[in-house]
Amino acid sequence: MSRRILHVDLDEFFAGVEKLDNPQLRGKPILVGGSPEGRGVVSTASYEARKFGCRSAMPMRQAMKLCPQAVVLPVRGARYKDMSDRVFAILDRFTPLIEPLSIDEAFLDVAGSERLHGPAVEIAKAIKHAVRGELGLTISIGVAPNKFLAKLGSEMHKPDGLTVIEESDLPAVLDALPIEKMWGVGPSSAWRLHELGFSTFRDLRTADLARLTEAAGSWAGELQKLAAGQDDRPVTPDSQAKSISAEQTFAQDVSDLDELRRVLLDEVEHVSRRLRRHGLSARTITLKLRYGDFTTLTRSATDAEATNLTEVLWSRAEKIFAQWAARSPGALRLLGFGTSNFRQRGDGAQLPLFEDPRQTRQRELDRTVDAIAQRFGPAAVRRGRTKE
Amino acid sequence: MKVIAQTHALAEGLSLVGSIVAGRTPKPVLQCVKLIAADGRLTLLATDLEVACRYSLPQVEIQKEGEALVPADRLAAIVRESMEDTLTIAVEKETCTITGSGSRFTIYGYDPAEFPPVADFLEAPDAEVASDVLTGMITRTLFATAKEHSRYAISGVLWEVADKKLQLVATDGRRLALCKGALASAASRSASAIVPTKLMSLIQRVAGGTEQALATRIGETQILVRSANAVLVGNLAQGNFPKYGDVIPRECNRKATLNTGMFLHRIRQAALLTNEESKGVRLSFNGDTLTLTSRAPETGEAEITLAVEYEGEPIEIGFNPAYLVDALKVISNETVNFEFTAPNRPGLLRSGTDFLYVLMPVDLG
Repeated sequence: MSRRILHVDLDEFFAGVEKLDNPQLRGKPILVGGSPEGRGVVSTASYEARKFGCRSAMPMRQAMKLCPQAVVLPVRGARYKDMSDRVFAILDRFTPLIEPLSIDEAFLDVAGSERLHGPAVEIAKAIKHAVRGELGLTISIGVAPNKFLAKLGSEMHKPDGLTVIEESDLPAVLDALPIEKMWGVGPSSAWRLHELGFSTFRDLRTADLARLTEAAGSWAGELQKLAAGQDDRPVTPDSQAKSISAEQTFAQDVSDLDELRRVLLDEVEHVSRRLRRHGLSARTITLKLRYGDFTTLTRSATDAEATNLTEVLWSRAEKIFAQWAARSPGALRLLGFGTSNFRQRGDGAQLPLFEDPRQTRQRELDRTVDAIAQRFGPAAVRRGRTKE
Repeated sequence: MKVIAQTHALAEGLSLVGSIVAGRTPKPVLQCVKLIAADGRLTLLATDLEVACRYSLPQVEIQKEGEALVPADRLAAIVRESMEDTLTIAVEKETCTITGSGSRFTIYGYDPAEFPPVADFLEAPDAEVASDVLTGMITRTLFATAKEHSRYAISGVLWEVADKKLQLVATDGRRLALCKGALASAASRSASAIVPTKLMSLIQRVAGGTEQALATRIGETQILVRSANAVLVGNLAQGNFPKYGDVIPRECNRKATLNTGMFLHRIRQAALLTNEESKGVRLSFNGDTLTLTSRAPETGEAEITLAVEYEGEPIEIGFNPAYLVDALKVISNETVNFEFTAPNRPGLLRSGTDFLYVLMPVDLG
């Protein structure tokens, strides 16, 4: 059966919310992000600012040089989270199969919803209509038979776009795309591919697999499939996910261990909160460490006891981080924290007779922190250690 | 050294000390049993450096006093395969000759001086306990010790002596068995220690072979046990035993009384349709009926009912059936009490006044 996947992506989300809250900002270049003093980076640049070359993840100082007239605003995490929750509540009306990618982006599998809500395109239109009508925000949507094509689709006609890619559009719609659009191809692999003469999707699709393997290694087969528009990854809602993770790519490589630990703790907090929300506990944790040259390490540890306590996951993560810091420290481009090997509350697993009293207290603390974050946004409450 | 020993008694002694002898060790002498023929008795000594045992055979005829150090498994096998009533063991230097009627074995041993010193139980005991009492208590607790590593020292049994009572407690972090027994006479001092599982089963073997009282003593790092024929000295486990008193439910507002044998039978039936992923059996107490349900995904389901006496609000609670079976197997009383407070709180199984078993449920959500 052919699948119907939507990729929804809010347009200039943080800037959009700022414009909504302060209509005078409409039509002006806006940079939402960290302060230009220090290491602040741009979280969102409004479309007006993008004309000047400003991009997200760019150091704020650099963006302000490109566009001195831009209105610079701090990140109001709680407000954005609140709007994001409302957007997801709208998505939830159409399908339970929602895989959130970030605060402003998600995959939806709507094959099962078509009987109730009409064809996928109509569902996409209804979502756009509701998000604009009820929240005053615009969203771009790609409709396609798989995740890869849906995501390409949502990017094609931003802002406020709706792009449908059908099986019958292949390979025409993909062939001319530059390889930089390929999922997972960053600057370093793009450079390697160009070296060997691959510059478009067509080049990848029609390449000799052996030659492509020279440039891309074991990933070549996957790459060729994607270039042909084939992707059978399912849409996995958090509640059925096999892993839940968070990662952050830095605008500039970070080698300061304290800074990295702060980022890691934020990720642990974020991931453990998602675990708790879905009644999951994890036995395995994984740290992903990518150096400036794109060399990527993953380090995992599995414990006999599954947990979703922030403090326990943090102590497990910190141990791996300390080992990495002792053996192979370096400037990182990306730091990620993931959990897997889940057990679900009510799954019939044996409960422990002796709970560490510290864990009982941690559970209470997590519950309180979650409630505050739920109400005022994740930035409203942070662990002492993450304080700057 | 030269002794004539009764084959049967010798086999029994070698079987006991043989279970201590180190299985794999870089020191061959630790795979040996030391024989001492003196003062009208033959003493067998073995140790793996954690536990040591001395076993005396009084029914021997000593023709020449002396000592020997002989590989334990060889000697035990030779004695086991002998049919005559008595065997003669003679040792010249490090060579041991075992002679029966129509058989003669020569095995090469070691210098007895190379054997590590083996402690004896010469101090006054803390307590004396009838061997059948102790054997029964060990049976009702030993199965609950932890088989895997834990942050607590629970791969052993907590041994507590006070006044006229001995109390044994064992847990693996999911269930806990507690058994009380009377001492033969008041303890000379209170003592508490964690006795490793392997040592505990050796104590049970030593106790099981005798009818008199056993003398026991808890030292700084060792426990000493003495029966008529044997002395066992073993290292105690170090670490903390969890505060078990905190997890024993005090006031249960839901109480069932069940026929022990029938309950065991029904639990075993329900357990037939569980598997690795769904180990739990759901117990639903309502009025005078207990309904057991289980489900093995993609295999099938079971529903078993059983008449019970039950007081309190209905409850649905899940347990790993293996843990229930473990406890019900060692309860000899005809009826057993099973009490609860809530589906996510421990259940309490009680039999008489001297045994209780606390069991944490599985997570039904």
